[in-house]
Amino acid sequence: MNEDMNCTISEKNSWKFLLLILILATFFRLWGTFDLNEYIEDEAIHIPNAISLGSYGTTANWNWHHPQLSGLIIYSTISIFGDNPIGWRSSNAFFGTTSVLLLFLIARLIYNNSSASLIAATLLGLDPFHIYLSRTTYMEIPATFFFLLYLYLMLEYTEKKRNTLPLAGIAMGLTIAVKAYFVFAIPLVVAYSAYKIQRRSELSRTIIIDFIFSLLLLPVTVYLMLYFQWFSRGYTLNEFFQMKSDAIWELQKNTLASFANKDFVEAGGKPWEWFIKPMFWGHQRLSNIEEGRFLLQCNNPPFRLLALPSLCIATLYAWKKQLIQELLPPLLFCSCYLLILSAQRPMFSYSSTALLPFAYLAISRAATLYAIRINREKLIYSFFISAAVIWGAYMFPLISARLIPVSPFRPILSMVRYMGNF
Amino acid sequence: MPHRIIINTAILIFFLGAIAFSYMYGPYKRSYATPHKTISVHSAKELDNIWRSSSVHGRIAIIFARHLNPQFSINGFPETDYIDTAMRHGIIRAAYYVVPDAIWSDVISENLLKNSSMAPLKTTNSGFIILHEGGRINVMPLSKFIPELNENVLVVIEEKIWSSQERLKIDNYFRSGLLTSDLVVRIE
Repeated sequence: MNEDMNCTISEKNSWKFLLLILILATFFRLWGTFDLNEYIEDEAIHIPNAISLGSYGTTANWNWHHPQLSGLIIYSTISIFGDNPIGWRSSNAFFGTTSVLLLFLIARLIYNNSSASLIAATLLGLDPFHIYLSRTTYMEIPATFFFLLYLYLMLEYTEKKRNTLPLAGIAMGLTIAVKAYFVFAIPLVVAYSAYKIQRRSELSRTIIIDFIFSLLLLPVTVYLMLYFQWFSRGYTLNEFFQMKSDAIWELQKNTLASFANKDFVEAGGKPWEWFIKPMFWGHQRLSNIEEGRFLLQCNNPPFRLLALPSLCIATLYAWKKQLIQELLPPLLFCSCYLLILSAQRPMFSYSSTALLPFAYLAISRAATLYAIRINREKLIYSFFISAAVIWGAYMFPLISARLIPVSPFRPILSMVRYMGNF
Repeated sequence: MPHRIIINTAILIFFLGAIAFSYMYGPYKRSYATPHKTISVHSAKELDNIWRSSSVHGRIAIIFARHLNPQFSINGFPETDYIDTAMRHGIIRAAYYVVPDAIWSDVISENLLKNSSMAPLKTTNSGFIILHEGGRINVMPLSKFIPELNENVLVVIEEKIWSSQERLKIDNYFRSGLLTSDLVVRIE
């Protein structure tokens, strides 16, 4: 780890600030989340799918291409809380909030810098898009949570020599059992860990065997076992491989015409636009010309537009200073983004959720480097954290289907690319 | 014994258990009609009722019929999408839809029309596959159908649509043991 830099936020205070951020993140992910007693957007796909999966082992709404863990999680919360908004949405609210804590812990391990960790956690915790998805049933939220958990456990094992490798293997299995966003990022973390251990001259046959058992056999086992509902329909392992091959084949055949809601696919922008152009789109239910409810999505323009330059700055700095662990966020961002950019099919903008933690790590790093350079740390950190809080608080009524007056939000509503009705 | 050896042994046992589970659990969960029977019905709804009341589960269905989709079988069989229902409820996990050779080109165009927006058809040497989320539906003409199944299957035969030669061929599958079924439903 690099030496702790000249932080303005002390170790003790950073935990207090984190607690505050977590309270805010929880509040924005829970307040009113269960009030809307109807399906929001893709919940009409996810919830019947989860119920069908739990009841019959079969997906519904042609959602069979993706692994089944997300559906099983929703089915389990429906089993506990009932077929109502709490049963539908509580798991994402939990995973979304906990992701903020994980990002803070990861940033601490990578940068050894309390300010960078707090900024990264604040940006994710108050990102309107992440909040929006955490209040619904999108599988990008659990997928990202499990990857962050895997990354954190791998960093604990690699940097602190904690015995977290088997737990990391379980988290890896859970990640790939939700969605395939991290298929390049997962081996990248394994390679990073092996490289760091090798640099300490500790890479032995024993370690390699541990890697094979914990990071290959264990995730495969977890992944297979999470298909128990599917296997209960009479299938065998050979049919499992056949089904996976069919799923990949069919996903590659998807075109924009395959999507019933193609206007909405296009509204979120093409993947290359996600970190370049400000974008707002969504649904509304107007009571009258002055009042209404909104379920707006956006690519968090004030901060996401900083992602690409920040990634360049963070990469150059890490490269120049030979800080291999600081190269990890840019590499993880690139590995996930390249997968999305190279996919031969249209992508919904919610896929960008998988990239956000790495983008915010890079922004927080660039911010701390800049603050140290101009010797205005307190000012820069206060600016970032307060800007994220103000922006998140301003956007919250627009993403949470609360009845609000339209006039204070006209600047945002005038920029909406697509507005449907719900 | 060192801690890591215990963990790695547990992982290995867990892994081997998962492989064994994935081979054995599915066949264990399949259920068959007892005693074996042959039943005649007049509609897809009756067929669906027979499958449900026989408590069959996790099965392969071989369907010798004319129309796969109700939308093309006006006033005929099937009047409901019984395969879709059976797949969604776990009754069948895969289907072979075998049609008379004489109407094969009609079947292709009907299915291209129905499925092109939902899921592309996967072409094979013998015909095409509809990738239903409840399992594969293999569609082929009778001349390309080779029963290579090492399990009892559910059979549906629409009686009226086959020529005597084709009828003989289907019967021979049963006589020779190439096709074994615990539940044969004849559509009259």
